[in-house]
Amino acid sequence: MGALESRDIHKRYGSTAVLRGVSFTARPGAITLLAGPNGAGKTTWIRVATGLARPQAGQVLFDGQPVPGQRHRLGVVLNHPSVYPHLNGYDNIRCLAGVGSWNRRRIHGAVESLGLGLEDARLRRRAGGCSHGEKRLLVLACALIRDPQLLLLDEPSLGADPLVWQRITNTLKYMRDEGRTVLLTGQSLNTLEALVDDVAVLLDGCVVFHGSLAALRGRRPPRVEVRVRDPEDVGTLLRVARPLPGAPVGTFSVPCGSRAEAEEVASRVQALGIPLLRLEVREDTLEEAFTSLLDADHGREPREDAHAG
Amino acid sequence: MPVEGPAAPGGRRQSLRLWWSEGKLLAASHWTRVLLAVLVLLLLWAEMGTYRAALNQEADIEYVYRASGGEDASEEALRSFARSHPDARTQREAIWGLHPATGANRTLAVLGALGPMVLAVWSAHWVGAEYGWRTAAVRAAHTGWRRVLGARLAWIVLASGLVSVAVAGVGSLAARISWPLLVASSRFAAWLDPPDLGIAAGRQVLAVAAGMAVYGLMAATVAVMTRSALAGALAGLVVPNLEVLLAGRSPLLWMLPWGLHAGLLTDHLVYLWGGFAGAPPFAPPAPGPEWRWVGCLLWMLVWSGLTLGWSGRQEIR
Repeated sequence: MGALESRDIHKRYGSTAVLRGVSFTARPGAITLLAGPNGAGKTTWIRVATGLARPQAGQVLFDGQPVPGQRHRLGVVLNHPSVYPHLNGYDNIRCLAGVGSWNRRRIHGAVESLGLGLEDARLRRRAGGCSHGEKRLLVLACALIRDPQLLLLDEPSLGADPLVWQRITNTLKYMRDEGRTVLLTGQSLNTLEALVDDVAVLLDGCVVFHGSLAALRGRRPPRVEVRVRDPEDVGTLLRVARPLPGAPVGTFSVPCGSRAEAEEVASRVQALGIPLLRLEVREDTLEEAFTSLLDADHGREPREDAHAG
Repeated sequence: MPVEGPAAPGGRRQSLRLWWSEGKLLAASHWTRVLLAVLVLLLLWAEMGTYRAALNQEADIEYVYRASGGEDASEEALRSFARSHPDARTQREAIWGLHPATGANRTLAVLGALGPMVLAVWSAHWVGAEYGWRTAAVRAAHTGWRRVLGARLAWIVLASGLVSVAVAGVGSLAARISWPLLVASSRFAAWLDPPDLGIAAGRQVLAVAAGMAVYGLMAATVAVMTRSALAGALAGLVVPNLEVLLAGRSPLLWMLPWGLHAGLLTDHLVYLWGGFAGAPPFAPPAPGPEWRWVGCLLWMLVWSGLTLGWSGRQEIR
């Protein structure tokens, strides 16, 4: 299995530079999240990687070769669930997955083995009459049935209900465990956190972070979060903590240098003997780490409300 | 979970499979059914119109006979007049229009007039709708847009041939059904000498198919370049009429698609007087009849080359 390498991709639309030297690597056997705010260039990068858009410079390689030359090893799910509305699920899969010679039984067997919950009755229906979620499952099936070595998914969690998302994540984890290279984009970072291994963060067309999820979450040290019941106790607590903006009244946060220090601070707060509603040693979630990264890149102080749990 | 995915592209077998699956997609298209239904209705209309016109010749022959000085009102005299007199050519050929020997010629003449526009609308939709549904992006990523379009262009050319063959067959069959009915109810039909068109039906089919294919490919090219089925269809409807407007402005206009198509039709189809379909309005002379075939082939190559070349560089949304 090969790695996916984005090498110094530059892409402009007219005078607007959308990608400005995007370089990162997605490992095989790992799920990489390409994160970024709206307009950061995630979808454009996917389009460049799949050959749908031509970059002004740079290239995307899989296993050392340009991706568009290896279409038979590629599965793509674009952010819009594009289907032929007048065809049923079977015919859509035949055309969109590029398996035109497969008969219905073979497609049914393959789809069933994907574990996406697409039953025969659903596949017999015209795709135009399917819900948004069903269409997403269908296009995902089109990508997965190709048995791709490289899977690129643009916003796969969009419009997926919890059950559908669970099926999707199970399938993606299976592919990762098989050693495939999986890269996805998405905005629902809380949802994606349990799924991804690596993260590349795009901001204004540049990669501002690339590494493991643990490394991103560990960019800022842990902290102790505490909430008191009685506002009278606030004065006591203010000796060690500062209020957490955006959180309920009486919530405080203590930044620490390390996990050990955070645990010591938590012990000290507990030793104060005041009634507590909450006492927790916390590390950044993916969303918090992402937000702080964007704030830092914009030259601002990290917003404290990013820590609100 | 592991399934065997598609094989690596590039082989002849893979290309044939892709071509075949595109054909199945074509057959499943609503537009294919709608436009085929339109074509069948037009042919039915032409058939009934021809039948009605043939029946109406009874009175006309008598009228023309008397107008040209005929005094002997016997049936024999009228039949003789209808069979060979130059003044009765319109009436005679209107009846011939239903003869089995002219059946394919008649329906092909109708197809020659309407087919290029019908095929252009159909081709533009078949190619251009992919952009609207955004399936072009998935096809491009998984299969390669140029490969998909290559298969479709091949189908457009083949479809013009298949439709022409089918229409010729329908005309031939319809004439075999309607001619005996006409003979049974007409005083003159049975007495006319059978017409001799002198052109093989195969060449007639090819002549009609060539013009249709040129316009089908042109509409597909416009649809790809503009990413719009509507633009392609409009081009297919407007361009032939613009070409007709240009008729006669230059001796080189025979090289335009309409000049070539009209020339092939007039070279290979017989437009009977009093028939349902008239000859094309504009068929400028070419240096030689074979040049029209060469011209059609060149236009097909030009449109196909433009489509495939453009699609290789196109950004698909």
